[in-house]
Amino acid sequence: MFGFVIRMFCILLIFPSISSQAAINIAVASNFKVSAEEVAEKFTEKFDIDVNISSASTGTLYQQILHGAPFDLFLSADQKHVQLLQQANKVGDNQRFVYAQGRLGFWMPLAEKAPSIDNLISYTGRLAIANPKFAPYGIAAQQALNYLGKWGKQQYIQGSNISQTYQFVESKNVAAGMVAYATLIQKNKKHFLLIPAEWHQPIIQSGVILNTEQTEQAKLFRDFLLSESIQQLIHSQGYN
Amino acid sequence: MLSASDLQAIWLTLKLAGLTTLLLMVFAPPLAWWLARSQAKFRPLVESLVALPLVLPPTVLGFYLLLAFSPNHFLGRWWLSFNEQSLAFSFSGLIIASVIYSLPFVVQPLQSAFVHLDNRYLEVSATLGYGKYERLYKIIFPMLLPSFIIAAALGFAHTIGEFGVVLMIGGNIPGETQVLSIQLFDHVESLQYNQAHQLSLMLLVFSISLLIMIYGFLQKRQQRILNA
Repeated sequence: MFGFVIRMFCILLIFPSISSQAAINIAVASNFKVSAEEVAEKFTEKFDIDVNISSASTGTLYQQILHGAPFDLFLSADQKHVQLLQQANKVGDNQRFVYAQGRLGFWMPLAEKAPSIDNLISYTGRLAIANPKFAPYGIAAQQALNYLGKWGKQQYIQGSNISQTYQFVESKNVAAGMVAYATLIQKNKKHFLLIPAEWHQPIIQSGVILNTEQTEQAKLFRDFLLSESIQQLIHSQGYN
Repeated sequence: MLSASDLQAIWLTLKLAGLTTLLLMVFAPPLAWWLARSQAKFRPLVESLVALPLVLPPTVLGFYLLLAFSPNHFLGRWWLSFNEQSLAFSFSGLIIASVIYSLPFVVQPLQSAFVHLDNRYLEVSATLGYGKYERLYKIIFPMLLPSFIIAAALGFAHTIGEFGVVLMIGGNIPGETQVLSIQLFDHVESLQYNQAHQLSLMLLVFSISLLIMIYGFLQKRQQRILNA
């Protein structure tokens, strides 16, 4: 009996290592998590390779990768952090690629109808934004508000990433926010204004394959992500 | 050296920890006394509620507080009926969160001191004609002073180290909710490692000094009692 238990235990120990050979670990910026999960599901269906997704803010993921987190692929919300990883020699000779371009939405869930540009300009209440010091969507929000000449003229409630910013507005603790347009589309929200792309530097979401033993599988995922049908899907979810 | 926003964060953190400790030292002792002495059937329930922040991830507390503060729910609506700003992302909201979060750290040392306080002291002092409050000020408080100091110090230190809850309900507003731990997180996220190092080192030195001071005080007191 005892021997049987030991044997089963050993099998269980070995089991995950067998299946993990066919799994890739992806670090995804929080704004792209929902889309990434959908892409991963289709990918697993097609190639029979499991995908584990970890999402956090781009900055947090960058720190983790820099300190040896076992990710095979990094989907950042900007270009800067990918470049920094390249400089830190974490990506070998893999080239970075652009998988989506993010857009901002000004969201006022309690408004009677979708807000106009005038509504945005005249709104002086508390505004939820992602942290403009490091979050890509926060930096873009600051640029857009700067463009309108209203940066610094109201109180900003800062989320540490764009998902948290969304949640601040969703829970109605803040009346309005600059959130990811894609999230608004995916969650079927109304009452928002798509911020014109020329108000801020483009949010170029790039990715890179990291220097691990599963580079081949990661490349397969990258090619799948950049394939026409998947790019169309991403486009339909609120990315350019 | 330290930037203006760092200094602001330090001051805010001290203010938050100080006010939280003050509030806790007002109503934690009676609660701890009741927990130590009561035979009520629902005491385990109250005891569990007090201890809950020790076991629950701060994110659970943060999430529920965010919901409770929102105008969709009773607490948030009630607050907004006489306040302009919602409790979320405000200093008052942080005070409420910190009081809940640090409650077990203040109640538990007091409770265990009260449990171990020999009833005979109270009985003898009663026969000497000491009233309820005299017994509190002349017997309980001086005898259990170390426990009160430990309780206050733990509450204070724990509030300074609070991170998860503040991250969820703070909103990172300078001068209002941007406390030290959040400011540090900001520095790391924005790759400003020098500032992060400065703040971390300061926090480390401050914490260890505070603890050495408290334990040093307790040691001296112990020696005084032993020599007496």
